[in-house]
Amino acid sequence: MSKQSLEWEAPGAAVQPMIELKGVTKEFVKPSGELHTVLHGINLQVGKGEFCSIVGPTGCGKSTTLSLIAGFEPATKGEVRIQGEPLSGINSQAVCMFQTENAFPWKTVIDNVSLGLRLKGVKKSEAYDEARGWIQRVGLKGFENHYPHQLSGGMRKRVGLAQCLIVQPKILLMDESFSALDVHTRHLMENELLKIWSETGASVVFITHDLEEAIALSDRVVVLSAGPGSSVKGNYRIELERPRNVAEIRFDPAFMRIHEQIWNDLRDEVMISYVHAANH
Amino acid sequence: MSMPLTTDSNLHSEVLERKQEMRRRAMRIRARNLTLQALVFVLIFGSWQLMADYGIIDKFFFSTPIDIIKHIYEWFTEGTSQGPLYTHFIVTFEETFLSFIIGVILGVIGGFALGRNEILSVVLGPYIQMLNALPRVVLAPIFILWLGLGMPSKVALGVTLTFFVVFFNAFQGVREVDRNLINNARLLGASKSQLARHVIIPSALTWICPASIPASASPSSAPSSASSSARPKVSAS
Repeated sequence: MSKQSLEWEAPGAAVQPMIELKGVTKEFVKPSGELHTVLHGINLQVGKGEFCSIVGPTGCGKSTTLSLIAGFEPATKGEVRIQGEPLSGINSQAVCMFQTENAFPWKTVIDNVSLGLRLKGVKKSEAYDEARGWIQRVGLKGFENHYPHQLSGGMRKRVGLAQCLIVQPKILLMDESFSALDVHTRHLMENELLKIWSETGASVVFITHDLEEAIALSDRVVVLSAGPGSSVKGNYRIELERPRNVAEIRFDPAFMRIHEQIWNDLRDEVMISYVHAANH
Repeated sequence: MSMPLTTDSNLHSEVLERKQEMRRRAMRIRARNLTLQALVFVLIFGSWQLMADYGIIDKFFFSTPIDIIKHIYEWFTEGTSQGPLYTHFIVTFEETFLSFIIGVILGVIGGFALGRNEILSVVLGPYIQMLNALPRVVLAPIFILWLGLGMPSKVALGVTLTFFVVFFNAFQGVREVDRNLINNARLLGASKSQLARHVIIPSALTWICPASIPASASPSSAPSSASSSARPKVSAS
């Protein structure tokens, strides 16, 4: 497979992307007073219902990209557009699964899952009914009245997933959501995520440093260059058939070809970021 | 073929046997610990009693355990020189209770206000730290001069003990709410007041609650208030 056929091209103007980053630059003022550029001139589009992963070496601004899309902080330059509208403040179309916990430790599973509906003013009984459906869907039936600390790490991730998807978001942001799980639980969760995602039609932006995970899950993998001042280094279509089995797709020759090609790009960036880290 | 994982040692009777053996071992450990504790008790109070009896230490200054128990018994049966024992108990309890309530309320309000408001915490923070650095004992005579010998001066002293512990924990609790949890609630559509109700207050409570109970129960532990704000968070997670 040649590189050309893998490279992703932006769709025509007729198709409006769900998320669009246009020349986005993000800078911070360091405590020393210096200006630190995290992202420099990022252009990125994510289509409706598309599963897009962002990979890159440590410190390349993957999570910053995500928090810009979520609207936790504004871009220094450029703009973030959601369904064509410039984003200001929190992104009301998006939900996020974090690397750490999504579940509120002082709420039971059902209170956690129904929270999004309750915040929007849905009656408690209706919210609970809806939540029970989602709890069953993520395989936690019978744990409605447990507290998060009574559950395993994988189960807490399930609570987080149900909590996010119950509000029927158009965008699901995932910030290394499964990186804290052991590898078997992780594959299980990834397969479940793909199954549930295929039923929702939400756009997913998945941040990870694990290229295999990114390829196994995604329609498209975006490689960011090493920081500071990261930009988009590569943009790859992943044309592997769905439904996929995340645990087994790694043995697929097509998977390996894609993996090798993207890794060639990523490797340079990883080396650069090693050198940066060593010099500091 | 692989080795069988279960051996015949898993026979029912052997399992029971092992269970009993483990239970016996746990009992032996408990018995040993209790014996040692009792031994130390006897050693300390016994030597105190003997040393006083044989005149090695002066009975006037050190008394003896038996005399102390006798005196307490007299207080119970005949009352103290200033009236029955229970009136003293009620007054002390009232003082403790009042200073606890007032201290907690002020501490929580202050902690939340400064924790949520950057300007307030920058401006008032140093003064609170300064007040907290004062040893409480030196305040006692000042409070007596200001408020007299009655209950108010004691309550005021108790409040200074409770307030700072609760204040620093509430402040820290509000400050240290997991950013991801806040962001999660914001994305799920929480307004400012919903954020306080569902995230910030419950999160801060896990800091305040364990702090407030020992703060009032042992008013003598005054210097602990500064260090307890650095105490690791005790929460459900």
